[in-house]
Amino acid sequence: MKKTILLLCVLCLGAALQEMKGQTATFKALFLYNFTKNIEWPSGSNGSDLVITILGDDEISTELEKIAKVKKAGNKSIKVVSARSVKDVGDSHIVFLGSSKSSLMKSLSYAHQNNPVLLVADKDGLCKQGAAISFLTVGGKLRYQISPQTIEAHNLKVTQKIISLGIKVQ
Amino acid sequence: MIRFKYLIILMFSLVLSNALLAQESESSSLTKEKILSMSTEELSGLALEDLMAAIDIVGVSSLEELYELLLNKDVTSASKSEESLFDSPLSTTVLSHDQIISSGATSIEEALRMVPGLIVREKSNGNFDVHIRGNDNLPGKNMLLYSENMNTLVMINGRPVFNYSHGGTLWETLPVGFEDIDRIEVVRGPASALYGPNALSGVINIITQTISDDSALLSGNVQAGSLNTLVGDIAFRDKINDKWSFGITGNFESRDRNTDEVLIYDRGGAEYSLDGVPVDPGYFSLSEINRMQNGDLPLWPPYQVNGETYDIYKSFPDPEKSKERMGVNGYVDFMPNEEVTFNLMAGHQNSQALTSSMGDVPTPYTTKIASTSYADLRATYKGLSFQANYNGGTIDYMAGNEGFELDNEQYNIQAEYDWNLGKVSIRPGVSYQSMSYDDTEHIAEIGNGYLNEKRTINILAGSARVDYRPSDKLRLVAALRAEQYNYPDDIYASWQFVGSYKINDNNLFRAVYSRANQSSFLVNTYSNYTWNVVNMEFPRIMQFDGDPNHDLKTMDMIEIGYRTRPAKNLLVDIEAFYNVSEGFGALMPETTSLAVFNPLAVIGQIEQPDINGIVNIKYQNLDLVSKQMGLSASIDWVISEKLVGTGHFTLQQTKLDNYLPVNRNEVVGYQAYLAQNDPDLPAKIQQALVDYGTGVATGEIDPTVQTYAVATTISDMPEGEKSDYEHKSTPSYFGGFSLSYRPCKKIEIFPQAYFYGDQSFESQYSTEEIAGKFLLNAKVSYKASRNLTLFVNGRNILNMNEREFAYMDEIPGMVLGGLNFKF
Repeated sequence: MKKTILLLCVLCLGAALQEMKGQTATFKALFLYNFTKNIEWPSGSNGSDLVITILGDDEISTELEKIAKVKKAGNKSIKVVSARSVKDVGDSHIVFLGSSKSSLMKSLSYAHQNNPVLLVADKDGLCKQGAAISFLTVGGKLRYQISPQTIEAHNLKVTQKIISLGIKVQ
Repeated sequence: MIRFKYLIILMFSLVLSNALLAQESESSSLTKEKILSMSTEELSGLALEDLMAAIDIVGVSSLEELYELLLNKDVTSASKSEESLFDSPLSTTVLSHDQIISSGATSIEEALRMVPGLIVREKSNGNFDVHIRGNDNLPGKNMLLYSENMNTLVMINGRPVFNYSHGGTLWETLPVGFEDIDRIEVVRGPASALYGPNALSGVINIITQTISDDSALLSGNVQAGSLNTLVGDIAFRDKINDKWSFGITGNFESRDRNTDEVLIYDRGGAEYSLDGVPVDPGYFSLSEINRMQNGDLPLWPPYQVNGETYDIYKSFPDPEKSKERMGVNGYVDFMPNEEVTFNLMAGHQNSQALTSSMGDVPTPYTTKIASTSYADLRATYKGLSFQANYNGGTIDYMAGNEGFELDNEQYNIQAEYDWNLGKVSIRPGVSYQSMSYDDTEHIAEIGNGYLNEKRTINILAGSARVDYRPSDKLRLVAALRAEQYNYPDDIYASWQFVGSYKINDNNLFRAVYSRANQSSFLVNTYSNYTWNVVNMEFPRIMQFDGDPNHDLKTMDMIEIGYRTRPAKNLLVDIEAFYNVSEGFGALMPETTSLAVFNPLAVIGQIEQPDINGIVNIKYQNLDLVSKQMGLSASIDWVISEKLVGTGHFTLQQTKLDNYLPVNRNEVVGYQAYLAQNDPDLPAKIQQALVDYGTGVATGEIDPTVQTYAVATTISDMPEGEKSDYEHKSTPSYFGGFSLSYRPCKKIEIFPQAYFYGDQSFESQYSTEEIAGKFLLNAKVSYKASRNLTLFVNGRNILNMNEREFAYMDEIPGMVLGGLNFKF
């Protein structure tokens, strides 16, 4: 009996390990790239590269690197930077906060409250804690919440399209 | 009747299935394949709207959706702002709407069996006792009132739905149904510092759905089956534009018992007879109870209240029905601009439940009838949140018993500000609560109720919560709340000190030290009731008095917890707790007097002295201390896209110090014995008669008001307090597990089990040994279309029908059928 239970557990674990890699990370990376086309940063923040810092999500980093190899943001190269903590986040145009680091949202928001940076989170509701955009799943579909007010507070300009396609929140 | 219900459901399902079948075949796998074959360069060339369309066609993988739904839940109740459940500094569980529906739970209380640390026992079909971690039925050896859960604060969107009259939650009076609910958040451990009084063992916060563009316009659930059970709800919601949304929901529930008889229990030496023939305590029909006697006195004598007969039939208007309720709710959300939100929710409910009694009557059963309404306004402006609500109506806590029907009004108003300073968040707040109860409209004359006027408890409170993150890994939280009560005229402080350390993204340690307190209740504070006993030989009068300045119960807890995600698909949560509760109280005998009830006739030498007792029962604080130690563990495991497992287990031990294991009657008996065996009693009787006669002669005593002469009064209490006494009302272990198996997209099989060990319930009249139980449920759902799901739902399918709660009903296995729809 014990062997049977053990075997079942092993089989279940095996099934879990064979999980198909989801496309969600790819899609989120594509979203981030697409945001660069719909956001205008103030001229003072211009550098030679468009810096996207990924805080705590290696999958997104990897996917974004793939895009950065073949695409530019306007005439700028995309530079993908990985960070492990809020203090590691340097000057960036976009900062993406992985879902496992969601607890850092308030700290991140506070640390960059005066910077022209688009803070993107990966959890429902984080716009209330300072994220400009936050991904969520609604009915099996990937969606994003967007706070025009927060984007404006960071001295960024957005197209009407990016607002209308998202779920507008306070 | 049931067949007719099934027929309606079946026909309705068929119509919907046919009408909606066409919508099933709209997805195109070719398009999906095409998208999946596109290169990164091609995909990144898509415009945002085209990218979203492509993503919608591919969809989020089932596995990732499961991770999101089960393992990456959010919670707001633990810190009063949204955070990942994994990061919650407190012992926290979130039950989502989908989980509740999948489980086949037929009520909110039953769904709570899926929450770690909750002991949930069914009293009668659909009526439950729900306790967080137990600590229940204290002080023991008392009325069933003290088995009510007075330690947990149940809320709807942060609005308390607590019974401040007697303490506890009247679950049947909750106005919401499943379709109102987005999730139920349960926080275990003292939480008064966040939510105010009565959150000793924790809070259960029912969060309603947010109306968005993705909300179904029309949705609902209905199921019917055994014991004439019919449960359903419906919701109509619409987001009109960016500023306005509204919703209307309705729910209903009707359930029968498996008998129409009620238990007459052995109330310590009662001598029951039916039509003159001696009978043992047991189950009887209302007609039989109406004809029964206890000794020479009628067991359930009728009397008149405002022209209405209060008898056994008034007490049990529907003895075969365990629960009947309906609720309606309206929602209006208004967002005038991006900085301001208003959420208004209002509704009404009518309910009737045949469940355990709160008073001392010959049966442990009672019928509770309630009709209440509420309005709740929540508003936010930047970091400022404001909430004001009203709840009021009429609740009859013991139908057919004069004095237990009360009108009530509850007002809560609170404001808090979330001040983010980066590494530190500070949340100051103020709140004011006012709870009024009034029995005057429902008693024949002033004096017949336990309040006899409108009485109010007011609580003014200030609070602050500081959330400090010195580093990305370390988090320190301190919350403090001070409450000023009108009664007791005192200030109570509650607090939470929490530290959590996130070793890495997948491991979190935490430790909590917290204190919470109960509020005062109307019955404890204001009771002023004279019971002229007519169905027992002794005593003749029982006087119940509250104590406006009693001490409030408090609980202190130390807890450590560890949360880990050893794999992406597995979440394990372990918590160990130790809590100490004190400040218990109960309406207990203070004095027993012997009095001559025919003093004038004795003085006039017309009759022999009629000597009987007067018992003064007063709300008294007890020295009792409860110490509970325990451990809960839970696991959520997404085994594969088709199989998800969850499980939880709690082990606990409760020990009592300074516990006096005697009931009210034993105290009265002890005091009456001392009085009757006083060698000076004859002299005291003579003196009482002389004093009475003199008083009448001088006009100091009005014999029409003061009809008896008190001879002697005893206040001694029996000895025999016990310490290190093992309290077994809460089973030493309890838990549950479930599997969700989806062999294909259209079918879900959801077996779910709940179990608990033996328990020993010490009541006023006996100690009931209740055996452990294993309840197995299973729901099989068929998703006929994306709008319609049909299901068969078996509850307690092993037909383990032993009673779960002392004296209450045995609940047999049940089979239900039903559907969920969403457009």
